[in-house]
Amino acid sequence: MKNMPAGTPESITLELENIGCLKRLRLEFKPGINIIKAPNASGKTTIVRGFSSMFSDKIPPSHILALDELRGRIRVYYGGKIYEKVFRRTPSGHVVAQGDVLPFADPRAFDACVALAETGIVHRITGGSTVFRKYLENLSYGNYYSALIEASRELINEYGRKLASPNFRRFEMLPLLLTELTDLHMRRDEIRQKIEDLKRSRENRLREIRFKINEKNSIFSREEALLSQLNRDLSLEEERERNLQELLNMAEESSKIISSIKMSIASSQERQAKLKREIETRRRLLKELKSDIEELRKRLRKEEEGSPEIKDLEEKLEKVNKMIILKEEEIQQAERFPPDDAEYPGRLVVDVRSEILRKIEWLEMVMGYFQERYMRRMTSARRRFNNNVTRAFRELNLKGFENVFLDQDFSLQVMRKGNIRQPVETLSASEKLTISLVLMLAAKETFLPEFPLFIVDELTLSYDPERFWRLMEYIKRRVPYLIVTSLASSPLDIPKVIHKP
Amino acid sequence: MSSVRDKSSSSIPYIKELEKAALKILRENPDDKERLKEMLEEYASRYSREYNIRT
Repeated sequence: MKNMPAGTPESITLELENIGCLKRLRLEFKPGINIIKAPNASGKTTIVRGFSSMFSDKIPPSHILALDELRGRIRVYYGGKIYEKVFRRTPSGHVVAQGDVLPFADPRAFDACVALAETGIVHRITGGSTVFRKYLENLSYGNYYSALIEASRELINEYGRKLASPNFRRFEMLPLLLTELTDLHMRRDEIRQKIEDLKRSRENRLREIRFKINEKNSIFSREEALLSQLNRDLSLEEERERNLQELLNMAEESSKIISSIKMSIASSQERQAKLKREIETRRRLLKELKSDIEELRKRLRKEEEGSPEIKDLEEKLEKVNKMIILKEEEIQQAERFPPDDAEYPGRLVVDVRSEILRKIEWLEMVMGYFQERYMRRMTSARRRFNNNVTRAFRELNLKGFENVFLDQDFSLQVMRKGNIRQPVETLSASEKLTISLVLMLAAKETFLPEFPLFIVDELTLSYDPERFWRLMEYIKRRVPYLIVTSLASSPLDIPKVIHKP
Repeated sequence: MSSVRDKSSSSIPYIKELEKAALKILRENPDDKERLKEMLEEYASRYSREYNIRT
């Protein structure tokens, strides 16, 4: 065959055992067109699904094993080797698959090389959906970059949420807390200064009172001594007067002596009167001094007890000290994670915050890089895909279509003659099927050019023979093995392959 | 956070190494987003350790 790549095997043999509705079946495919002929409900789609499971994992094993069987098997003879996959139903009812896949296996092949009603592209077209971004993403591996973009974005959001958590919010309050602490310290210093001033002033007053008390005490002692002296003088004078009176009694004969004694007595009495007056004055003075001293002592006691103003200030000082302790604790909490924190125990918030910001910075750069890579990849994929679609429509010469392509939003555009756009949902069923097949073939040529198979299941049933064969020939020129299912014209027991080289 | 960054690969530390490792993970399992995030986090931590914030 002209289009056969070097190394393409002469045939592929497929054996199925307990797969879908088929108990046992063996089919041989050769390079060219292989038409599986079978009546309805005889296992055509089962063959396609079973064969697909040997090169793609898109079909769940439970959709492959026969419903009433515990074990099934698919065997493929390809390039002189045997590839076998075994399906087993577990006691819990799950179906597991174990074994080989074909050497050209590629998960993307199911979307680009198997035109089954359940494959994405056909379903999209027949379901009227026209956006092919995801389809091209998966085939061009653009989905790898979109996964990286999404993962980066999620991480950035997670870090953003972390920075909005209470620990970091408290940290942002730190400048305010420090200002508040400084204010409290200033308030404490002011109160301390006031207390000191008041105490100093009280000390001065106390010193002054004590000095006055001492002074008064000293005067009091002096006056007391003077009073004692006066009392003694008075006693002496009284004694003298008594002695003079006795002398007067004894000296009655001498008038001269009497007169002198009487004068002395009068003088003594005069001195006594004077002493008594002075004593009285001193006593009054002592009484006053005593009262003054008493008053000063009272003042001293009062001053020593302390003033209410100082007490009030000391209470305020205590309150401010407590507030300072609380504020310092608050600052410590804002500065550092608690020791029992699950993620950053005891670490400085400023360090963790800066670490997270650096991580976000790097993730943003990485996300930007992957966005650019994604855009480049997708733009190139769309361009190459559109080129292959255009070529297919041109070569197939399908009537009625001017152009079919994906626009910048990866939305399918169908242009009729005269460049008139036709909405996809208004296309006929066979037109939708034709476009599906052409798009799928373009996808295969663009993204899986070396894949040796192209399988078409039941999509050609409504085609007229001319269009059917034109399409088959076109595909055959591009793929070594074309496998097509078709309704049998006469009832047959088992599916059979008709080969057209 | 700035939305515009220099996207040239030479200016992004470890980008080639990361891209290679990430594509390997995705080839093994295209849905393993958690592993992808773990790897991105490891590289982000490495950047945060080795580079200062560019203001």
